[in-house]
Amino acid sequence: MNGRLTEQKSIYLQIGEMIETDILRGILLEEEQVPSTNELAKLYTINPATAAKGVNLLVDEGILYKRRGIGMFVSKGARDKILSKRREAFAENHIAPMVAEAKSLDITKEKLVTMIEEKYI
Amino acid sequence: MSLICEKIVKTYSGKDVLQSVSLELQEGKIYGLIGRNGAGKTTLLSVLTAQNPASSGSVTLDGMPVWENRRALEKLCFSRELNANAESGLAAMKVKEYLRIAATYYEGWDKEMEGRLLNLFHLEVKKKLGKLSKGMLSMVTIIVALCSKSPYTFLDEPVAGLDVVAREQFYKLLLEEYAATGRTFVISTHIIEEAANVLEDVIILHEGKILIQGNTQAFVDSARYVSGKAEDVDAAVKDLEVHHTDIIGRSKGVTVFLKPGQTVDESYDVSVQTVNLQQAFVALCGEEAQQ
Amino acid sequence: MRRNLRFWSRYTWESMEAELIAMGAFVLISAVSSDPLWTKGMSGQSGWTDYLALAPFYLIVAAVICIMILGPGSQTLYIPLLISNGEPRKNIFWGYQFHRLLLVAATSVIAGLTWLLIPSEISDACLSCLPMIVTGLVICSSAGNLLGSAYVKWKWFGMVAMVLFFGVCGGLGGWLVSTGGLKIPAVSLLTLGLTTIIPSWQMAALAAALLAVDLGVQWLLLRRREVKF
Repeated sequence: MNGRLTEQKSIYLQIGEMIETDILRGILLEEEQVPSTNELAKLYTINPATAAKGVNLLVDEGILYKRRGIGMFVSKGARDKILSKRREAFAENHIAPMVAEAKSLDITKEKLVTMIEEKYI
Repeated sequence: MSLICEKIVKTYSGKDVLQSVSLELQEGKIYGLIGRNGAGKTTLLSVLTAQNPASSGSVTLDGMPVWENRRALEKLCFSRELNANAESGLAAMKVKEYLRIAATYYEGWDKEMEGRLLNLFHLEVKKKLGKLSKGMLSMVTIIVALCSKSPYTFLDEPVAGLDVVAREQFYKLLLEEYAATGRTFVISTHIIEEAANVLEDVIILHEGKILIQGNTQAFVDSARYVSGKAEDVDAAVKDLEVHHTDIIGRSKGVTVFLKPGQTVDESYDVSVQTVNLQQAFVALCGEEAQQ
Repeated sequence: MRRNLRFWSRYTWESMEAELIAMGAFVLISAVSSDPLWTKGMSGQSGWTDYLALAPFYLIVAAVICIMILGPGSQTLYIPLLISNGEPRKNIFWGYQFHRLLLVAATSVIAGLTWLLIPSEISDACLSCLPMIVTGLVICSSAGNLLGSAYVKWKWFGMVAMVLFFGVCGGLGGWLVSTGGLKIPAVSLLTLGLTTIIPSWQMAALAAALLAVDLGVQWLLLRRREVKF
């Protein structure tokens, strides 16, 4: 939970991503409680409503679940859910821009594949 | 329970400082009131809290008019920007006295918090207001606002004169109090980007008119900065609301505000970036916007 | 209203403290500047009682000064301050009149009781003009407020009026001191002179009229008053 907020993306999305990353890194384990929206708000100096929006997004995706009166917890299988979500997004978020950039630099598909092979050690 | 003002007009010496301003402030939110100097922010806050009478229009809290209404007024707290120069009578008043008067009038005054904040800010209560720096005067304003425990609390430029560390302290104190009590706060500020993450809703006042009121994130998300070759940019933003044009040579950059359903036409070779609240505000209210 | 009254009571109390301190100062000055002859006073008897009987008189003088200063002070500072703390104007209006009433009453009662309890010719003389004194205080209170209201509405006019008024007072005070006025003979002469020259009913009428005008002006100013710090 130690990251800096950037201007590039909506804050609530960033909050969600930071929680996800912590889950992937094993900082937050399955069935463990995540910080409350008020704690998140205080930590990042953001409005609690924004923090809540980010958390609720993860609840909707099944990555977190709510225990009434207690708080938000990491769902069983959250790690796998996040990995598959990010893999699906990978093509859109990383491959597509890379291809577009390569095209604008007149790099052929074959050259691009070679470059990838060189880098994928 | 909402604080609603309808078609507020405020005229000073023949000039309309506020022009038919209508707002609904729902409870339990942190609102930001932003606008340029002279936009009418302080006037609006004064009218909302019945401290200055409107020339026309109405202000109601939960349906009851606010003007001269004790039951409504005791739910409102307007902590003004203090101006204790030699001319104003306030200069000779001690901090202790100023706070004591506030404590007399706000029923829920939190004495414990007052002591804690005085300590935190290193404020000497025996000092006269006229001898305080701008930053210390802001701290007094903040103490009154937070300790009043008022359901609707209005702060006018609370961070004026505060250094960056003190400003951060203020935002944290504000959020702490908001998290603990769910009080409604309306904060007018010039230091926009810093406060942006704290403000759930934003109200932009420009030359006495409300340009924008709504969720801060939604407003910022509706703005895009489009740049590239001038002809491409013009084509890409056709039919969109364009503000704040920058032109250097053949390149052009504009800020657009998208209405629901609209997008920038990215078939043209242009860069489309997001903007932050401050950039959106400047685009909307800066000089160049008057085209 | 309770909170409002609490504020104005405390304000009155603090004003009384100022009055008493001023009175103490006058008493001290007069004691220091006196010569043994003054105690002979009017009746030729030496009397500590005569001396004590003069103290309430100083209180009245102190009250007049305090009231004249408080009037503008309240109008320019405290009243807008209370509006800015969310108090309805009509509460402020009545609270302020309560304060004035309390101040005049407290001053009069203290003076009256002192004279009642201290046997002296001066006491008797002063007691008989107590109603006049009260009327005088009311007139001062209204005058002070009108000055204050004038200052709020037309700053320049108010400033001129205040400079004139305090200048005259200062001059009068200076004259009194230089002619040994703080000693009994001149002072009691002045008091008795005033009470015999001006018929009491005229003074009462003046007080009532001035008060009515004052209240009217106060409310007209207050009902749409803007808070500007």
